[in-house]
Amino acid sequence: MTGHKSETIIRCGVLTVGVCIAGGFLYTVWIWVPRAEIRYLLISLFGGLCFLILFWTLLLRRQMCRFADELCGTLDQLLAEREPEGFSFYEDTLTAKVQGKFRQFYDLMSEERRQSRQDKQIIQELVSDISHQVKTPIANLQMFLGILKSHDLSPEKRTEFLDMEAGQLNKLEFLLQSLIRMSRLETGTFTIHMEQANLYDTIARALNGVWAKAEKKNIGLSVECDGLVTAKCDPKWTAEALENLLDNAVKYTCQGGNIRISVRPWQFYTRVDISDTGIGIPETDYHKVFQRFWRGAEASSFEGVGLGLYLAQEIIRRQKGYISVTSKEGVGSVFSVYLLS
Amino acid sequence: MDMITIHNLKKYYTNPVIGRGSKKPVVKALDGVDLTIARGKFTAIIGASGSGKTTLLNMMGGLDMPTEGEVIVDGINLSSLREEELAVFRRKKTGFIFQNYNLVPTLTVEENILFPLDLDGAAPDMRFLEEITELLGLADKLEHYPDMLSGGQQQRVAIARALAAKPPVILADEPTGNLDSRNGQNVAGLLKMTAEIYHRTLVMVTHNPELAQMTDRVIRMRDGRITESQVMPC
Amino acid sequence: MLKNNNLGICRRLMMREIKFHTGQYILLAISTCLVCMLYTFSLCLGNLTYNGFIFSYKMIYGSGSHILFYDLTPSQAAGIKGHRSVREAVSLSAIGVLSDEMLENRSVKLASVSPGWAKETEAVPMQGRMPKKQNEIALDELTMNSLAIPYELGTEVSLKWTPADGSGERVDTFCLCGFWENRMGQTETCAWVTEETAQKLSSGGQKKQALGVTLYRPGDLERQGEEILSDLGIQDIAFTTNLAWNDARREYAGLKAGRFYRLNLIVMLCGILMLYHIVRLSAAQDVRFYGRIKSLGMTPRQLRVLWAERAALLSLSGLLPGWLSGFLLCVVLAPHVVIGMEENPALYFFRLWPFIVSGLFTFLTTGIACSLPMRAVTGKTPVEAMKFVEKEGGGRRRGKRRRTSLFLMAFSGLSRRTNRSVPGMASLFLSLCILCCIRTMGASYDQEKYLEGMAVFDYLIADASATASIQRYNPKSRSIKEEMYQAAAAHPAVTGIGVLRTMEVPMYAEDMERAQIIAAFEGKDESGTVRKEYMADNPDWMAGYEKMRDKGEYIGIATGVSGLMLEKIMAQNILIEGAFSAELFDTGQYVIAAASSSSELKVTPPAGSRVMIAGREFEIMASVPLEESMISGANSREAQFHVTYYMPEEVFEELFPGYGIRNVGIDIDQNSQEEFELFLEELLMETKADVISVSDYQWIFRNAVFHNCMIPLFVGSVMLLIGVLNFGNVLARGVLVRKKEFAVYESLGMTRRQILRVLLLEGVLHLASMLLFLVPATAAVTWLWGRWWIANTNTWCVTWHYSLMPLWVSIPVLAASALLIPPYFLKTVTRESVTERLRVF
Repeated sequence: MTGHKSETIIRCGVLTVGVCIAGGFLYTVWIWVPRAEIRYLLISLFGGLCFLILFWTLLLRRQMCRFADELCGTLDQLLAEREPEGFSFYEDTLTAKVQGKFRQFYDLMSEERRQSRQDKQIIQELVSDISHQVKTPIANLQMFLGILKSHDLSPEKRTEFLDMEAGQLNKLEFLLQSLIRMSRLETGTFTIHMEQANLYDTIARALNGVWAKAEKKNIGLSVECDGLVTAKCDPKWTAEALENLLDNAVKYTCQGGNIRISVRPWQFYTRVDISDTGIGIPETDYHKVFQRFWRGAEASSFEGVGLGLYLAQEIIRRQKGYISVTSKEGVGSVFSVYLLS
Repeated sequence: MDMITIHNLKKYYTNPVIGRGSKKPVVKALDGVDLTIARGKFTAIIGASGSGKTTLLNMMGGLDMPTEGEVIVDGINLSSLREEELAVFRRKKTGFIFQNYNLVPTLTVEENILFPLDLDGAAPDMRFLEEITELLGLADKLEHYPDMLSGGQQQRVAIARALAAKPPVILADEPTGNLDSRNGQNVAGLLKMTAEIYHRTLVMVTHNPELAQMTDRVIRMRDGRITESQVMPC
Repeated sequence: MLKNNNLGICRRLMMREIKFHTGQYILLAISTCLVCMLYTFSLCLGNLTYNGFIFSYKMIYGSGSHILFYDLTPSQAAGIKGHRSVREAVSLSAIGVLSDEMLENRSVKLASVSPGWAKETEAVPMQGRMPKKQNEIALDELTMNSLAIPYELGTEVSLKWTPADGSGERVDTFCLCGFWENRMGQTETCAWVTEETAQKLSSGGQKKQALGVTLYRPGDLERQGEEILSDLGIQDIAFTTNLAWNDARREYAGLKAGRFYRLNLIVMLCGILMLYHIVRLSAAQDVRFYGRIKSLGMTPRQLRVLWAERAALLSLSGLLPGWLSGFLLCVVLAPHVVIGMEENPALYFFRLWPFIVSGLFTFLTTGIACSLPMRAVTGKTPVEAMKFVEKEGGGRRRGKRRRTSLFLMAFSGLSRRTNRSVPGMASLFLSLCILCCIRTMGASYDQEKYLEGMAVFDYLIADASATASIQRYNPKSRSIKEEMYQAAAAHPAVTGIGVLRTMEVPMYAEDMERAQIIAAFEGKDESGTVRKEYMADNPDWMAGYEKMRDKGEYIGIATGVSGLMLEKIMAQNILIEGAFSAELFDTGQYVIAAASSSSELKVTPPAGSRVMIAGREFEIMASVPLEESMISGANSREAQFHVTYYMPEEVFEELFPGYGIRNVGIDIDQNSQEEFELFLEELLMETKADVISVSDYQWIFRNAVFHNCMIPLFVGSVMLLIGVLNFGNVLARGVLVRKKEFAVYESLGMTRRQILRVLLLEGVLHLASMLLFLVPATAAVTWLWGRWWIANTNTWCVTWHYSLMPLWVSIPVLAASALLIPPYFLKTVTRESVTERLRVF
């Protein structure tokens, strides 16, 4: 309100000063210019100048009004969720500039809307997936519990059943863990602290998780990494991603196979290759392996929920890196993790 | 949704050096190309040199005028635009990564990156700038002039510039052409990643089939025509 | 539509461009400065010429007022003063006119003091003051000289004057209270007395006024004058209009100034050419650059702004030095263009508009030159622009395969840039042609011939009453004293000296004697005109002639000559009739007659006839052409038609004892010129006598030659400068552009020395091929033009003198640049390592 008031005062002041100057000028001209022609010439010049200023001001005001109108029109259309039409975004004008920004904003918003719709759908699928995945262990547990409850079993048999129950529980826990991680990823609640981390340590940490399993399957693990190589990443999460990849590799590698981890520090990215001698992936499936809950046709015989690679990729991607895969069926696959140097 | 639609596009050149008058041989750089490129996808155009890939890309970027046919980008037919509008189109809708980088030698790296924004009179998003320069490893080179940088660095400046104005379409002409395969992989990966992160439509011209692997779709060209359009399985 | 606010980037691009191409920019700025200088110079000079002419008309007219009305009653004067188109009016109440016969060629009014009028006519005493007391008078120096009045305040002055009211001539005595030098009003001026004196002298009669009027709009003065009079209903009033505002005169002045204004067109052409050369050498690069930024989304509007800013910056940086140097040049040359002013004309006629106009023109020129590469980009798509390559000359590149030698490399490098060097060569050729022609013309103007014709003596001393050509010689003036003549004659440097005295005597010619004269004047010349018609504009001459024709009475001028004077009269040894014998002449029985400067006309009484001069009879021994440059000042109006009779000085003295010397002619030993001039200055210090020396004529001659040659000389030098600059630029560019090429050569094992040798060879070949064309072509053009000019010029003082000096001078300059520029730039180019240069894109 005060701003409005002061504006009014300024406007009045400018008007008064203008009138005073004009009056003074006219008076001076009238008094001091003796020749009539020159007097009229001066006065008409002055009048012309005033007219020009007025015209200019009006023109500016009109332009401002049109500017505002056009923007409002664009906004109206966007609010009505219509594609904005009839505007020339490619003119080198202020209107086009602002309209362009609106359009950009609108595109972003609609993209986000689409994304969230898609997410909703995925979550629905996820729920049904989970319920499906969870069903089996729970049914098994119930069955085992029923057997344990209703039948009198020998201690050996009981222990066997209890072990099987423990296995099912483990599977449940694994599922839950994965779900928790995934949901944290999806909701964006996990935070990544990028730092210049020693890659050797990170790989070591990842290897800790799979060492035992590999030992069990008699798979050879070799690491080819200089102790001083560093990469820009969050070591904890990177280790997790690598562990997932290694886990995957161990899982699909037959008894007595080999897994090799090699690190190549490039100028721009540091490439970590995890090559196995597993069953391989057909070329057509390269993209699919990183999708949630996807499991290859041959993979159905292996246990897992199809989250490991998805998580790994998501983690690496959040760290501004990426993963690529090359593979030959029956010979083995190479997963390459590109981390920022 | 289609970002780029190309309809019966032709571009003929007459060679000014050889031949005389009406007998001048006509070079058909593009000879009837029909193509649609979906929004948010990464497309690679591959083919031998002289197959018209660069010409096609130039047409998409509004850098050259077709002899016949039309190019529609984001709903706008480019041939309907005046010169001024085309210029605005170029700096707002497309980020072009030139094979020879096309950096302005009189501007520093930072100014080069912000050049399309400056041309538009837009305020730069400094955080975004920081992010991409950090990402591209240019953070400590911002004050340098382009000729103080190596080829790869110049390439990255060109990429940063193409990204800086956040254009919906990024057109990359042999972005790895002058690099060894290792750095080529780097750059292509970088492009893919940024396109994915920022939801850009990306068209890349290359003659390297290995790089094409990372894309959503591969278009093969020969003698100014599209011989094969292979959608990468998803 | 509100345009986008995205022009900041243009300035940044421009500033960076300057930072990166400082050398080119400085070159451009210098050229712009040069262009601006030329504009300023030619416009200032044009302005100067115009105003100089107007000023000189004002001088002749004698007043700054636009219209002078005469013989007005006070009420009429008041009416005119109040008229609406009159800005200012100064009035003069003249009570009469000085009517001494010595003043007959001039009009000096006796008037009561009018400060306004005095100011308009610059008739304000410089020595002493305006009259304040009874009987005091202020006079101009010319009048004082004519009347032999000493320059001493307080001198008693007796003046003969005729009152305006028609009563008869009377003589009054005044007391001199002040005098001034005649700057204006050689023909017409005033003698000031006080109001009371005037009243007393005119004895209260009807006083008439003259009114000098300054108008608001000085155009078509005749019409305005009449309008004023008819508006006021005044009739029968005479008025004169100021020559300076006469349309025809102004047109003439405009025409003279137009020469300089037209020069601007050439300057613009040269300027564009010069700037274009510099811009053009990097044109392909510029076009590619513009294509590049265009491909990134620069709009045509931004490109235009970039262009405008570049042009503006260039002109701005060139403006101030250009203005200054142009004006300075003008100040230096102005005294040679407008002659005879005390202040420097450039400062006196200083106007602001030439600077403004030259600024605008400079901007226009740079704008046009800068827009050329920009023009190449518009209409091209970015891809076309980025691929832009300048077409290079020399189509047949694919010859037989030969072994590469340094010479062949140089030759191919040369043939690659023939295209670029053509405009530079054209300007070189043109400039050399102009300069050589001018040099030939200048050298052909023959000073000796001129001096022979114009300056008969090394020094000619003139009596104070015979200094100006309108001043009637007063034999009583006696400002050249006998002792002075003696002193001069005794000076060791003097090789010859002679005296000339004149006296007008009424004479009578018998029918037979005048028949020859009449036959000559009534006869027709080659063009069929009756000869006397040539004198129609001189009524006094006509009157004198008719009187002689009808009654036989005429004025003879008895001229006593001695020593050198006589020698000079006979020096050319042209006798129209009769024969000359020195012994007979010395006897005093004979005279030599002269009447016309023509050597063919017989306009004197025939040789052998006898004439009576002042009561003594002489026989005419011979008749010779009249040597007018021996005599200064004017004769009386009656004597416009006259016959001069030369007689020995002693005889003259016998006839007219006690009269003064009109002229003294002196020839000296040229070696002691300075010493003698000092001596002469000292000698004449106390007198009012005037000296016209040979060096004055020399100065006038040189000035005239300079004036004739100045403009083409100027244009030629500028074009030469452009040509040389361009040559240098082509050489420099030839090195700079091939930075990468040289790096490739070096990486292939060529030594820097070899590259240098290639470059030098290239430069020399370039120069040689240019000279092969330039030298014969220039020589031929100069010769042809010079011959034509000599045949068609109407100047008499020329002798054919063929000179190619500018060409010979410019060759070493070109050679030096061909030999010095490539090594210098090669050094700067090779400062970076080979790999660094190879990487440059």
